[in-house]
Formats: sequence, C-alpha cells, structure tokens
Amino acid sequence: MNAQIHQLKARFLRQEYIVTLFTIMVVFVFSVLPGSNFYSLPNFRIILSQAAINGICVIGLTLCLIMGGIDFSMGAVLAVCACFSGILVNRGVPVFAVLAASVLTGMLCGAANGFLIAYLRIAPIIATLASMYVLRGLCAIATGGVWISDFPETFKWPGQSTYGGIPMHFVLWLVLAFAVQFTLNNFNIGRKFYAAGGNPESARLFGIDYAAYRLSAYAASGALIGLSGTIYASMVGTVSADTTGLNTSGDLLAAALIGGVHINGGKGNVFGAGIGVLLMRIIRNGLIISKISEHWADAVTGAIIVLALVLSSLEKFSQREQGG
Amino acid sequence: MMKKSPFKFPFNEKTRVTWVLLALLVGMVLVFSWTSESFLSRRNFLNIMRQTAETGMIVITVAFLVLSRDIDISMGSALGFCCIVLGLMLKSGVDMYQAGFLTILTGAVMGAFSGFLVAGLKLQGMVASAGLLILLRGLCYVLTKGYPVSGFSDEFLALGRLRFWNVLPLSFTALIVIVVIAHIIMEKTNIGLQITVLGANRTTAKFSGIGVDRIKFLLFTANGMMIGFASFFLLSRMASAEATTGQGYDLDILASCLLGGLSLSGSKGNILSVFLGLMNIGIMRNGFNQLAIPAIYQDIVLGVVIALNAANWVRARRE
Repeated sequence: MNAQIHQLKARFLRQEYIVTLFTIMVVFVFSVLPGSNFYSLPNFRIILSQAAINGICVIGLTLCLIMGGIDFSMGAVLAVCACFSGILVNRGVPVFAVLAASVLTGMLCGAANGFLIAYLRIAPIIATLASMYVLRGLCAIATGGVWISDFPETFKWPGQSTYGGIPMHFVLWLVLAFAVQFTLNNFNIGRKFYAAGGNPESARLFGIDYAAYRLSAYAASGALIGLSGTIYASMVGTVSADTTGLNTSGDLLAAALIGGVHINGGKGNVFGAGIGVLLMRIIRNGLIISKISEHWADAVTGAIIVLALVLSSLEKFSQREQGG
Repeated sequence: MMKKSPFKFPFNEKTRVTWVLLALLVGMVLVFSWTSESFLSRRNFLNIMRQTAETGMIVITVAFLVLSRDIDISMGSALGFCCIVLGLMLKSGVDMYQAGFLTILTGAVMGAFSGFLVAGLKLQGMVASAGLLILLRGLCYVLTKGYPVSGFSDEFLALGRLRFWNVLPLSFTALIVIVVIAHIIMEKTNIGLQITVLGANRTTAKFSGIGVDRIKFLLFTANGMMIGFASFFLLSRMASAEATTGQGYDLDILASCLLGGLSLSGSKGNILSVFLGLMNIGIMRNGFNQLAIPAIYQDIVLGVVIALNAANWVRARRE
C-alpha cells in the first residue's frame, strides 16, 4: 500500500508537471482579473519576445546547475555584453562582428567565473557574487555611467525581426534549446555532463575531467549570455551599466529551479527550465498588465525559488523513504 | 635543563593571521595618515567606528555560521528589510524600544526560517539564503512602494549620535561587547567547541552526540536576531530607509570574515582576527574614500581578497 502511494507520488509529483499546472493557473488568474488585457496577440508576442532573452540565458544556467554550480553574475554579464555591443554598434562596427564580439566577451566572463570555480575551487555562489560586483563596476567605468542608445537602423534585426508575427529570436531560443538538450541526451559529451554533475567523485574515477567540464559549462553559459546581450540591446534599444539585467539572475535562478533543474547538480533539462522562464515572464507581465505593483514580482521570484528548493528537498525525502 | 618561561610570546601557526592583520592595520593607518590630512582626526575615527559597527555585529554571527561550515548570503536584504520594518513601525507611532524589540523578533523569525530550511529540510545554507536574498529584497520594494521611509523622532536619531566619554559611539560599544562575548563563547564554552567540531567534520560531530541540527537552527536564528539588532543602529545613523538599504553589505561581511582568517571549509579561525579583518576593511574603505577612489574599485579589491582567501584554502587542502 505504502509502496503504491510512493509510486503515485513519484509519478505525479514530478516538478515539470507541477510547474506546467502552476503556469496554467497563473495564466487563468491573470485572464479573469477584471479589465485585463492579458489575452491579446500583441501581449503574447511581448511575452514570447522577452522570454526568449531570458530563455537563451537559462540554457547556460541549466548547464551550470547540472554541473553543481550556480551563477549570480548572469545579470552583470548580460549588462556587460549589452553595453559592449551597444558601444561597438554606435562606433559603426558591422552587426555580425558585434554579435561575434559580444559572444566572445560573454565567453571570457563565463570562463573567468569557471576558472575561479573549477580550478581555484571557490564556492560558486561566493565567486559569482564577487564577480557580479566586479563586472558591474567595470561596466560602469567603461560606459561612464550613462545610457547607451540611438542605435542605427541596421542594428534592428537581431532583436526586432519577426516572421509571421513570431519574434525570430524566440525561434532561435527553441532551436538552441533543442540542440543543447539533444546533445545532452544523445552524445557522449552530454552524458558525461550529467555523470560529472551527479557524482563528481565517481566521474573523476571514470576519467572524466571534472574541472574542465565545469569550466566549459560556465564558458558556454557566458557565450549564450553574450548572444542574448546583443539581442537585448537590439530589442530594448537602450542599455546602461546599472539597470540592464538587474532582476535577471534571480529570475533565471527561479525559472531553472522551479523547472526541475536540481540545485545539487546532475539533474534537470533545458525544456523544464524553459517552461520556468515562461512562467516567470507571465507572472511579471501579468502583474504589470493587471496594474498590481511590479514590486511584487521580485518578492514572488524569491518565493518561487524557496518553493522550488522545498519541493526538491521533499522529493529527496520521499526517495529516502523508499530506500532509493 | 632550562626552565620554561611563564610568559611565551603568543606567535604560532594559530595566531599568525591575527598578527598579520594587526600589522596590516597599523600599516594602513600609517599610509592613510600620510596620504590624507583629515584621516587622523577624532571626527574621522568616530566615523569609522560608526560605519563599521553595524556591519561588524552581523560579521560576528556570520563568523559563527562560517565556523560551523555554513553560510548566509541574505544578510544585506535581511538588514534592509529589518530597517524598513522598524522605520514603518516608528512612523506609525510605536514606542522606540518596543519597535526595536519587534524588529529583533522579525529578524529572529527570518533567521529561524532559514534555519528551518537548513536544519529541517537539509538544504545548503548558501542555497536557502539565495532564495531569501531575492524574496526579502522584493518585500522591501513592496513595503516601501519605492519611496524612502524617513522623518523619525529626535529621540531615536539621538541614539545614533550618542557616545560615551565623547569617543565611543553607542553602536561601537555594543559591537565590542558582542565581540568579547562571542570570543568567550568560542574559546571557553562547550558550545564553541561543538561549533568547531561541527565545522571540521559533520559526521564526527553527529556521532559524538552533538545536536547538529539544533546548533545550525540556533546559529541561523541568532544571526537573524543580530541583523534585527544591527538594523536599529543603522536606521538611527542613516535616518532613512530605502528599498535598496543594505545592498552590498553581504560583500563587506563576507570579505571581513574571509580576511579575518576564516575558511569556507569551516572550523578554522577565531573571532578576534575576524574583528581585525572587519576593522581593516572599514579603514580601507574610509581611506580610499578620502583619496576619492570610487566604491567600484573598493569592491574590486574586496573581490580580490575573497579570491585570494579561496586560493589559500586550495593550497591548504593540497598540503
């Protein structure tokens, strides 16, 4: 009897299901609030377009989390890359070169984080908190603390082009998410990611270079943030060192954790995190549209992180009861 | 046979950090008094003392957490939240001391919640407080609606300016008392020993009959209470609480702990050198401010301090 209950629990308490249910509930609540414009095509387009920026970043965060890491500097890296591409574009550099430079910058930032974490073995939270302050500081020095805007017409396509009403970078997000998850599931390197994240010690005994995988997870995550930094600059049109990506780190963390990526590593997938991103975006959008103060959004984000952590630890307990 | 001298100069592996920090402190005071004329004034020292006092109180309880091999990173948000709660209570006419008591209670509840997440649900302290960091900061915005809370009674503001014999601010005196008590707890009592053992090896601690979860819970609760206590002084010094109050304090607090010779792998270090680490960072900030070096560069220096400490840790583990 008990075993059956546990089986049912294991089948239906999957975090992905809970999140999907939660998302549907949130959408429902926002759509029945009086005077809501939530159900409209332009609004959905906005949600998708904004979710895609965070969505591309969350792929990288998922990789870091699978490797047992965490990243608090994502917002700062996003600001650095967005400001950098803004400055370059205004100097007349061609857009493709800007995109490449931004990806490279992000990768360098990520690799620096990864080096601190993988080779100097600083606790990921401490290392990325410190690098968050350092990167934001450097960014403020480089931009002189002013807004960067007035981008040329040619810079519109990375973030503003649409195909049949669907934002192109949303499509890019889907393609990237599918490619990364396919690699993780089916290729040798992907399986090694899960193995190394799930149990570093045994992975090391199997000859997997744990530190190198950790470093590459952070570098890949940085590159993805670099990509979405350029898209962000192009879509929003103004960037600055101290406001761009201010809530990003928290939002992404909440999205990934509620999407079933495990904080201790070795578990989770990109699609779950993607649904988490949509959920976070819908909450933020719904709060604004229903004219409830947006200030609630951060509080809700934090509450969702705590909820996700509690869920994951409850899951651990129920596994232990089964002797698993 | 030579008779052992009753007094031995206390320089050994254990006290090395303390002496190095003391030397650094003296060196920094010398350099800054040479580069800036106003550094050595009584007024400036009062400033340093008042500025480091609030951070310092939290540093001590966080040091306990680090010694037991855990950590809290939500101090900044929690401090801001407590300040805002206290400010709103004062504005609505609650008596000063009652409001202070209720704020400490609020802090205790927050601390107990993280304690529950860590001790009850077996989450890592870092991870649990990462959620609280964002949650509490969000609540700060919700409570203040983005406007600063200010306009308190003179009686309350006078507390921030109160000083003994014209040299010791009330907040700094409180800090010294706390440091002394914490030092005694750590060095002389059973609880201190238990915390050290817990930090060194959790499994050993458990099998030695130490109530691991109870200690963790108590340490987190104490940390929350101390944050509430510190917010009282912070608010009476700043005279206004904003949604961003306390942002960046986590970096200072962590850097003080790590500069003070604590190791993130737990159990190593003592309270006195943590206090010296705190004073070092306070004086560094003050001296750099007088040289008109922007806070950004100071943050970078603190980041480097943290990285160096961690590198030190790696070396220690290899040996």
